[in-house]
Amino acid sequence: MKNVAIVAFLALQIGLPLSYYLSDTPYDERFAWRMFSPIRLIKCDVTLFDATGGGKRPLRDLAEMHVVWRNLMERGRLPVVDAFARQWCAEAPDRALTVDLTCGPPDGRLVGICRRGPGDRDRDGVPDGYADPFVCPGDDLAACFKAECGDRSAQACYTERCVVRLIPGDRDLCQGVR
Amino acid sequence: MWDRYWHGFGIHRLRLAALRVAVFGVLAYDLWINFITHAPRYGAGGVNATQFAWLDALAPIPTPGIVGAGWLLAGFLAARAALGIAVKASVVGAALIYVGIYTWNQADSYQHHYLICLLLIVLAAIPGDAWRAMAPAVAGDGPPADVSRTSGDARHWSLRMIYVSIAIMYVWTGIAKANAVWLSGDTLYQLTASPENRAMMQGISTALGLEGTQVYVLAAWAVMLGEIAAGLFFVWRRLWIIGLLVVPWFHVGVEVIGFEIELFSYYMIALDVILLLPRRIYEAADRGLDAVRAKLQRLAGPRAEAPGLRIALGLVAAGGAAMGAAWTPYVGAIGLTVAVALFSLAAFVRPGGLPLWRALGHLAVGALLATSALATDAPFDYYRLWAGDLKKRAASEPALMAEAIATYRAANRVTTGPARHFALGKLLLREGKTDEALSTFAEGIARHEAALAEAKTAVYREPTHAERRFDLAERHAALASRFKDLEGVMRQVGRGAEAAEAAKKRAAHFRDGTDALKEASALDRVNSRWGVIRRTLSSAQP
Repeated sequence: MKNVAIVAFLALQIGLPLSYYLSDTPYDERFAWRMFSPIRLIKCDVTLFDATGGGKRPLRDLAEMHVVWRNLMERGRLPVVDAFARQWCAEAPDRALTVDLTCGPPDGRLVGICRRGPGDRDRDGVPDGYADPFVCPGDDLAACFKAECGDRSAQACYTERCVVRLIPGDRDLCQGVR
Repeated sequence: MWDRYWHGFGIHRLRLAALRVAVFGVLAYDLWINFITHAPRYGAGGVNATQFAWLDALAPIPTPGIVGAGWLLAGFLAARAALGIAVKASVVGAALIYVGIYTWNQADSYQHHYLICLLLIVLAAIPGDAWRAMAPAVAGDGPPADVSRTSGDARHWSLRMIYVSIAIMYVWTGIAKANAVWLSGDTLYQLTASPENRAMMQGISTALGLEGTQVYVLAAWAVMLGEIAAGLFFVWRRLWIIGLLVVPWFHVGVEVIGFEIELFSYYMIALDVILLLPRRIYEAADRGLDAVRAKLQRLAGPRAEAPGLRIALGLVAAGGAAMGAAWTPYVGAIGLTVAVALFSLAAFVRPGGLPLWRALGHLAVGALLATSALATDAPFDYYRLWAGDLKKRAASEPALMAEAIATYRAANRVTTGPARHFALGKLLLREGKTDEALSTFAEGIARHEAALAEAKTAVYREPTHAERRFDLAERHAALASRFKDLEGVMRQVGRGAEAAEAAKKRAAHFRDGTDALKEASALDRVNSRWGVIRRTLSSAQP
């Protein structure tokens, strides 16, 4: 019995972090011992919509939600989105809720186009993120940009490489939690 | 091999005692000072996400009262365990509460809370006998103190599990860093963004003859490899000494760069040092403690006890400890008081040990619990954070306005320093309670001015102390900001003369704050407080 307890506890400690690496949800780092993870530096964009009756009106609730929950949503914590949906959808039987939840990619810190977006404030023809030595150690920023984005425009490359949608925008979250 | 590794493993009893004192001492502090301030976020707005999806359908919404009282009670049990009183029951109780609340809600998502959960589960599995160490009689009903040294090591698989669990954690933290983003040094560069840290890293870079961002790449690789190696150090006893020389420095480094992860570094430094110290140190300390044990034994009174004496001491202990709990100004204090009284009485049900020591220990823990609430900012933080959330939600739920006002009042009541009078005053104005709002603003200004007077005195005493100068600048900046608010309020209620007076004071504090900040910067050019104070001043600029 003692050995069973030992093996079970070891399996828990090995299995929980392992499940993180085997899953497709890199933004939820609980139990994975990812202290100082670059994912902690990613801030997702979250907008919740009241889609009752087919419309799409932004909810004020996100701004008024406890800052802890909002922060967790902005870190891509999907169970928190579900928890909010459970509470909000339960208030009326016919409610519909959708969410626009997009995050940067886990390796986005090292991708010039993701680091500071497609903007080119210094007008050198290359998005500003490539000026960072961690992204493009040499002097040829244009070559770094081309290597990552090819012939695509900065905006198209940004949208394709740097915007990860965690939940389909048309999914009614109330359907999943009722 | 398996049996010898897990079931033949033993550690010196003094090592286990040191672990008990350190882990449960820090845990009690953590629960009473840090955790309690987070209680109001539990159940806020009726939202709750448990740690496991299957639990969501079963778990009720937590409340600040239950969570807060639970943490304070867990802290009480942890402090009692640290003192060696009813250790097994206290550890199991603290583990159940801590793990239960952690599982109930994702609101506290630092990974070290998960580590403490795992550790508490392992510590709760340690048999009661193993906990009796340097003063076993004190611990409850163990053998006389003088046999501890000859009674051998504490042996149990859970003791090995402590080492293995920490090893697994270190290896996973290393694996988590074995990726291009971490190894580029960029994450470390971001984490050390303050001027002090940048200067420190530049100094290291120069000393090592490195160029550009190489120092961050080197540090990133060193941390990753060091963490994986740390796992090895913990699972193989012969490598403990190397681990002792290497591993604690990771956590010292985290504290040096000022990364805010609550008390995690302190837990880890204590665990690393206590678990990895050479056995010889504990043996030498054990010999040196013989005299202390004998003295403790005499001071703690006779072991033999009459049932009446034990019951009387139990009632005194329970009464004293409960009084400490009743003094805490938190929601749920009544439930906490009853629970503390019951847990205290339970420690006197069985005969044995030294009841006088147990009674004194309970009184001390009760006094510490009350002190944690009465002599720190924890109650203020508890109420101000709660009130802030209520105020925000009151925008769409007017029914919450009264609760927000009551909570701000509580926040202002539990501290004598600058508090949340302006936030409260603005809510009162919104409710049409103008007179009460104005007197609340006046009280707020008075508290800030008292704090400014203290800061001036401190600068007078230590004129070359940079932090004192920054304190002074901060106080002026806060007053400039408050007078700006007051100016607006006075105009809003049609009191032009008072508004003009407030504008004058705002300008004066802005000027004095700017001067004080210059003087502080002259003493310390890379202080991270500069930016915050500068921003406060800028926002209050006339």
